Amino acid sequence: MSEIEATDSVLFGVSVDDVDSHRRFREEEKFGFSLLADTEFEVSNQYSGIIENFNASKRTTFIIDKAGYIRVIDREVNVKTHGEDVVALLKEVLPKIEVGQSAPDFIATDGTGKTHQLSELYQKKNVVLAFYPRDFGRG
Amino acid sequence: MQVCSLRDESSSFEKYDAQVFGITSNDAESHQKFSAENQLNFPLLVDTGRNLALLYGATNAPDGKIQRLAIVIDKTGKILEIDKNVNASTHGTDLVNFFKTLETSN
Repeated sequence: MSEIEATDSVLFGVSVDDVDSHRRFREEEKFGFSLLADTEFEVSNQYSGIIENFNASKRTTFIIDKAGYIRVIDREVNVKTHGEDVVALLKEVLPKIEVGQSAPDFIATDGTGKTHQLSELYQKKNVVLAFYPRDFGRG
Repeated sequence: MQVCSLRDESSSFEKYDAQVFGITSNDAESHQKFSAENQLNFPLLVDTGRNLALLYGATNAPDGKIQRLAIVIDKTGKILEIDKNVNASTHGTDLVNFFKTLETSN
């Protein structure tokens, strides 16, 4: 298990190269994570931006947690230390579900369509999150 | 049922200034019916993508079963209690007792 996997994370490389190029690159360099082929520039346009004269994705790191929240956008990627930098960032920013730690924020809607944001709620009241298997059945 | 046990302690939760949310992967329509049928007096959050369950460790896969789990968060946003062994029939009183103990220890 890599140090990144050890933080319960999965790594994807993204560039505008096609699947064949990615396959060759992966075989040549022998790395273990997936490369996504963003040949239509859709992901790059939304996330990293494009280096215009070069027609390629800008080097950018996004760290997204399990709730879908972006926890880090790093546009100052250091090519030489990127691996260890990502591991350090993951350890720092990923929420820890432990007593005494900050509860990770979220926005969710209830059955009536009303929106609730945790960080606004806990300023007013103590909050209890009660997860249960499903409605009906045994509730 | 866990939700009924929580419903029945609403006045105590009010006393301890606590807001309860039920969370599971059913959609809004199901939540509305379920709430009405059991006359619930607290909101049920929709987590069809299991994002919240994954974030807080109530499941381990986007299509996984959601385990009973209670997280208590204080007014500074810190996690006060993680209960992975929720007793469905006594959860309401168990939580009230937790808040009671907390009050005494402060």
